[in-house]
Amino acid sequence: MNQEELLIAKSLEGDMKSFETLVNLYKDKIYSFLLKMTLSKEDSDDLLQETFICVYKNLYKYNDKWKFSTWIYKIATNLLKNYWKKNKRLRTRELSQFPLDDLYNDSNNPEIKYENKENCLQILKILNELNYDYRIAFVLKYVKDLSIADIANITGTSPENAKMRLYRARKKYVTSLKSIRRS
Amino acid sequence: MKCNYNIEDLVKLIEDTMDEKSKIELEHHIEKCSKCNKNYTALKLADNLMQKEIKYSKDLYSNLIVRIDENRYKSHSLKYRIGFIFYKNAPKLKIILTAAVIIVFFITAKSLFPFSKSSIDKYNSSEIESQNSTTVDREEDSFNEYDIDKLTEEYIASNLFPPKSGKVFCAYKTIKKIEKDSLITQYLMVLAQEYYCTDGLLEEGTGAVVPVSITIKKIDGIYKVVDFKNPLKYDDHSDEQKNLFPPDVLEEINTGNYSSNEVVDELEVQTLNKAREFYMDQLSHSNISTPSPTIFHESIPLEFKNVDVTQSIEVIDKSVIEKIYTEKNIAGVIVFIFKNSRDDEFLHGGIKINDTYYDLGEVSAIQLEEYPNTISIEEINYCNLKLLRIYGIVGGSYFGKTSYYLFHDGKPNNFLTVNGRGIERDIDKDGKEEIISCSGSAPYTYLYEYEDGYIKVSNINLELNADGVLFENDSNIFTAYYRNENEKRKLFEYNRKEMFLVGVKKDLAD
Repeated sequence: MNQEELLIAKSLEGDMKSFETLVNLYKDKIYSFLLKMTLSKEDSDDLLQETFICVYKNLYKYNDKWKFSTWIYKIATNLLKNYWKKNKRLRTRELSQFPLDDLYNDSNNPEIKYENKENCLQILKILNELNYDYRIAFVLKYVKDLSIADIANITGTSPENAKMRLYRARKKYVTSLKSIRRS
Repeated sequence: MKCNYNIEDLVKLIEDTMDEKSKIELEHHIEKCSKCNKNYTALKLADNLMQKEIKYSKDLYSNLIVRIDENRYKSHSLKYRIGFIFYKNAPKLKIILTAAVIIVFFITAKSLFPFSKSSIDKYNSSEIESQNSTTVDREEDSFNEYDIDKLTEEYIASNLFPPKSGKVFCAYKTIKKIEKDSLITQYLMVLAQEYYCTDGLLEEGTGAVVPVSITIKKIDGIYKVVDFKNPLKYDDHSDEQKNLFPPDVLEEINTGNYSSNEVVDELEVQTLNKAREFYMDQLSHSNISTPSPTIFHESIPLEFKNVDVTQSIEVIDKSVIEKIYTEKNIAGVIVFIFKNSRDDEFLHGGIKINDTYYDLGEVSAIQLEEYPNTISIEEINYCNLKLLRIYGIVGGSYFGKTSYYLFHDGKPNNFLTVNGRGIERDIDKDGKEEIISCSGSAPYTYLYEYEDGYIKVSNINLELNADGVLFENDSNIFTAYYRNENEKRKLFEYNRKEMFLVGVKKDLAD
């Protein structure tokens, strides 16, 4: 039994300290994912809490046939989907709500700092324009330890389709970045 | 310089999943090829930024603990332990249950439907035949473009990838076409998209943009697909996949011109329209008018300006009223249409409140005095306000005008006047009605929003840069006409001060 499995088993026995450790293990990962998807600090905060409440309530349903990380991302994705449907009209965000400073590399050199910030803004702008399927493929691809099969599992699609979405997302990203820079 | 690399090759380099030899070759190539160099830099940038984990600075657990039942697993330990075992073994149970259901089905089906073997065989063979050969009958000797297109589209849609629960629709751009004797080979960039319809809503399923090659042969006047090369069957950018196309076609594919955003968007619109047509009967009407904005990415923010409504309403002497045509009691107030002795051109609207007469101004051309039915007087609810609305025809070609009045402190006030028939409707479902006015033969459309006590207006023709904009009353779609873009029509949906492109129609005959 690895550390995660042990924590799950103990949480299911009512040991809240173990659940707390589990939360702390995943909170930054899930928060980063939600933030890149919603581009809003406030909404990510809400969704993050909902995710872990859902994880806690359904922990007994977890099947170790899947990786725990895949399962938890799947829960977050399901909540995100509902959020997306409800906020149909707010899909593209004002980027001012995004905590930019947390994302780009802070440097002491003001020129590099400025460039980093500009690059970061450009990427977020493109992300903001990608539709849900492309955006989620693009964001999940950069989550450590998730394979294409995991992404397919999380997004409820076939690996071929996940691959295709990722390919299209990347393509859109590269063309959009080029056109932003040209203009 | 010839460049055979694409984005996925660059991704492989970044992810370090390339063999050493190809890696060195590509690195060498990037130094010389400016296109690959730019793409590589862009991807590397995303790689650096997107991998960053953002720390959640608040104490999440303390926030959670007040919202969850800490004793859930302590006090119901046994119940959840059984649940845990059940869910853990659920996949095995599923197989056992499915097998049981199939066995029961066969036992009961055999006694209920005594098919003869031959009738089943006959049915199967005719079905297989129709599935395997998609053919089109034709007698003429030359190739018939229409039939080739139809066959190509149908064949690709049913053979590119299997749909999950919907139907695959496709559209394509021709990269190269070779006609030789009775053979025609087409190299196409295909967009195939699965659509399904649930609860009257059109939803997107699997989709792909891929180059394919399809060869059609004409045998005895019948077109038949004799070869189809589908890259989805191979690993992405493997050697087999690259060998599917001749070098000149591959070069064209790698330029990216055939899979640019513009092309993909255009093909997406085509497939979407095909899907809409196919599912027409199942789609609820509201969905046709509000397709998902995710499909298109173009949105235009609208500029709104305050409307100046300072013009006050005049109190008049009863003697000015020469003749009253229509009279209506609206919420205890008498509203009437009258001939003002000082105006020979227009009929005026009037209001009588406590023996005081107010002149609401011109509401109809005087020529229509014999047709009082052309004037409508109504009380309407608009953004929680009760307004009086008068519509009448004031000019030639049935040029209409709608005037809105608001009662305040027992007096009428001008609220808004718009050209044409004003439509008050909450088209973006934000809880507040908008007013849309559309008039003129090259239609001019304005959209009014009521905000913080002010009426604001947006000139839709100007904002969409269109030669004409028509508001489709039954579908809430704004159709923009462009004279210079090959008679193109663009369809927009309004939502919270933005116009979303939801469709493009190529010519007026569509």
